[in-house]
Amino acid sequence: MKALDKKLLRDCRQLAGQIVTIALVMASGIAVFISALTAYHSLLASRARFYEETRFADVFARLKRAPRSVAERIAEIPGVAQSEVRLVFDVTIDVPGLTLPASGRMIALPPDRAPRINTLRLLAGRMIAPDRLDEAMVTQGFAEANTLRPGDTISAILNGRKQVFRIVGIVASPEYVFAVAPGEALPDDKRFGVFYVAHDALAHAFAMEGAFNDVAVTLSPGANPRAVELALDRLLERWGGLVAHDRSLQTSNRYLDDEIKQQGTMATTIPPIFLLVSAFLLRVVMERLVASQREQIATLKALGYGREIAWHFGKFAAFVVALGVALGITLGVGTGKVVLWTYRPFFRFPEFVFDLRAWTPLAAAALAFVAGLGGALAAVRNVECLRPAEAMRPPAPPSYQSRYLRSRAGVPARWMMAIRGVVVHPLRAGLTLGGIVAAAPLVLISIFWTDALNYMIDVQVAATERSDAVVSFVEPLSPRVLEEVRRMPGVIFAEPIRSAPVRLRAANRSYETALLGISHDQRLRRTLDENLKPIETATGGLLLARRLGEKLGVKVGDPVDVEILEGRRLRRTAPTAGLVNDLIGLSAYMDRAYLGRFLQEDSRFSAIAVRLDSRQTDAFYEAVKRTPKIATVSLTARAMRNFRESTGAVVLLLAGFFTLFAITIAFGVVYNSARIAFHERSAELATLRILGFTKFETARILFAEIAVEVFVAIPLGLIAGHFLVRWILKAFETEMFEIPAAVAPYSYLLAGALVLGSAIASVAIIGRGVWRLDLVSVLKTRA
Amino acid sequence: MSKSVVFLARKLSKVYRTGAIDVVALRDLDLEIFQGEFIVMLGPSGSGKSTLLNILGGLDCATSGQAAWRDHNLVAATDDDLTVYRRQHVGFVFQSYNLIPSLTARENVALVTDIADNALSPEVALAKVGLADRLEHFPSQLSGGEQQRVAIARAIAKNPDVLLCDEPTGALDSRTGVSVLAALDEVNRSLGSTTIVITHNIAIAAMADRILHMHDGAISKIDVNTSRARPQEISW
Repeated sequence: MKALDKKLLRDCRQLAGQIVTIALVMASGIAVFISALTAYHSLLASRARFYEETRFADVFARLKRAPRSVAERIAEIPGVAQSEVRLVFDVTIDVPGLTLPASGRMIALPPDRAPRINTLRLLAGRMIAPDRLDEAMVTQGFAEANTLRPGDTISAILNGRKQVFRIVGIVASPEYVFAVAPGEALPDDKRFGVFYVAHDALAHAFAMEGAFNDVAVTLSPGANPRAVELALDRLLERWGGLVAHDRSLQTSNRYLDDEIKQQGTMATTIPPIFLLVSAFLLRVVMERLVASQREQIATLKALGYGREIAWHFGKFAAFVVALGVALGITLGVGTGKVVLWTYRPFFRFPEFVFDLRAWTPLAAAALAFVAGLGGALAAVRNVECLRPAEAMRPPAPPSYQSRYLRSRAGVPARWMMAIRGVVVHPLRAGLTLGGIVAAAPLVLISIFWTDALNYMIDVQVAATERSDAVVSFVEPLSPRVLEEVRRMPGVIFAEPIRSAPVRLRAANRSYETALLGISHDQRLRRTLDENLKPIETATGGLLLARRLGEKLGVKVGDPVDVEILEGRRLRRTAPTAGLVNDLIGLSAYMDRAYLGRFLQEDSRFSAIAVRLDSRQTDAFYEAVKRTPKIATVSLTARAMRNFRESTGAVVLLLAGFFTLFAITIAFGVVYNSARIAFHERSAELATLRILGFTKFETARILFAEIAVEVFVAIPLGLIAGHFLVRWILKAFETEMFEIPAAVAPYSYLLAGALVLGSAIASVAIIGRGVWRLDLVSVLKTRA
Repeated sequence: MSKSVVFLARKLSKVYRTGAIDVVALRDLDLEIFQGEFIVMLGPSGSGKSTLLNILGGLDCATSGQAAWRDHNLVAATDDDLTVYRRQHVGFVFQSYNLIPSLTARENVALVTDIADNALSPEVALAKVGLADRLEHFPSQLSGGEQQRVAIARAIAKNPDVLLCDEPTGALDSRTGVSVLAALDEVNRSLGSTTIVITHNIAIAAMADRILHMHDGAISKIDVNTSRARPQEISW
């Protein structure tokens, strides 16, 4: 080994603490990059593999009832490769031992053969026998949540008649990777499952022999999905067809799309912050290293060394980056696996493909090397420029003569040291300041998710959807049903809702959603503005969820074309009367009486929201199970609380990782700052000790400068965090959810305290140096 | 001499262990120093001058023997005891000045007066060393001699009982060195601080009460001056 390389090794050993902290900051960025991209690719790959295996359909349509002969005409639509018509009904399910009313989607398998598209993967048990009308297969999530195994039985209310099914198999379906009940925004595996039964079981129960109400088709290569959708719409319109849609509006697939998009966003927004900070750290440490080795460099130059010296320092930087890359890749692959593991309860793939693309770590390494060497370049250039004779002399002392630095009456000398230290070492001060300003927002965005979830629940449950349950009917019913529901046990208060599927159009944009007819004095389902003040459903006007308004590009007062997608497909233009602050879903609202006139029908209710006596909820649930006309019961509050509990652990785990990574920055930055300050000032500090300053007083003087920087930086960082949260949420916003930027004051305090804590920890480590200062050696140093 | 003993050393030894080799810096040294004395220590490099000064100043501990300043035992003292001792009783002047570059002359002195009892004001201390007009200058704006005088002002501002100086003129030319010595002499005479100066410069010996010659970790000879020369009479 060459002598210069031996020096390199020893320098590395001497600067081990700094090398490790910089490498950790770098590793954190790389870990986020790799884990997010790996989650992204793994979701894509798991989805692609499962969709291919199960031949997931490209276009979907629902209708009221069409004769099976129409199936042949569907198959003839240009662009359709394969098609499948089937029966799909949403029913009430009774699981033995489960008090809550559950709902199930019953899907009939083709009468004479296995499904050709949207096929199933059998995870346990066996497929149903086509001639057994009492057998069912159930999706994995529901089976797990209710501990159902092959051999267990459940009962379902099919068209008013109770029927018992024996579970024979547990399956995974490409249509319900993310299983959420119709009309709900959040999954509740205990209360919603998908059941596959024999064709005749549903056909007999719902009098649908020789008919179908659901279509799924795959497209031939190069086919235009929009054209197929339009052809399907035209064909099915007279059979009560709802609008056909492609995969992008298929609920399960849409949630997957959102998650995949979010992981992509994560990979591109967070890691650059880490890499920039680590590059900056590396630069400052390199400068310090070069400065402390001025005389050695001069000697080497005098001995005839040339470019080798710059190369020598370059190797040092490369070593730091290589360590960061190695740590980051290891950490990133591990974190990626953990992220995938946390997906398991939500995304029910039969198996997750862990897809770590070779280019991901390579790109991470390349980015890190560019960032790291970029940071080191300035320092190496200084080495190149140094003339030996100049290097032999100590560097010129900084000038303290700025007028801002004059003595101030009443300011103790030790504080003047700190203030001047900050002003004349802008790079060093900027390092601490910049690093903490970068770290604090990252901590904040890690811990604020819990606040956001709580706020969502508060707004959605306590202010907007204040009902305990919403019962929906198989078909809209006459107002008499309201009285029936009011008489059910436990019901304190009940309010009707009329909802209709609609297509809204404004200019050249359109969106399909549910139009809810509610009355202006509604108490259980309220329409609130962004200050949570109720907005009236003014007669004739349309209230739109704010994000729906943005999607359609309309402001208050703008006209929107409303097309009812059922019955006679009536159309009318209505003005936008207000924008509603809905956090979940993209609904539209209208006065119920006006909607009735619009639909040209007598008053009809499609759902009823109820407030329950908490002592009688079980009796209410029992009554619901006994009421055939109730198709589904939505328990929003329960679903939200459930969601918080189930995601709580996941969010906390991921937030924990992130917080750790962000704290690494704060720790790494302050550690390096303190270490550099300590090295540069150890002679000064020893002098203070000799003059009679205690160890504590000396440490206080050393860290006063860092304390000033930390106390300025934390509020700045939290302000930056305030904006970063909003920016990130904008990037993370999906069609289904708006995550509110509701950061609780407590979270600001916690983020500040975590950053402060990591700063104190790093200072404490360096502070040990003050305890071990060699006082005698100071007396021996030359002027 | 009727003055009281302030420093007492008996069989004082100091051994530095560096790896496998023991370096004996002081061996069984006996010494008494009296209140208000001006002592000059002479001797070649490695003779133990600095080690003795460090032990007397509470910067280092002896390996064996006794060393005391008045009733303070300097051998058995804890680190905290030594800090208090330095803070309350000892003023140091170094060859390399060791001023804080980011503080003005006044602030460098204030650093000490802020923590000491019965301190002079920084202005008075700097006036004593002839720098009343340089209060707001930073070290980088002062000559070497001026910097060393700031260091002396810093050392005397606490009214120290003992003033310890390690090669105070080592980095200075003759004329500047004399001005520094004049400052030390003035402090010794006006404040009565016991003053110990290490030097290689034999000329300085003329202004001492006693001259300790050190060799190989022990005092080889003590010279006594019947009358002390004025610093202005000295040159080299």
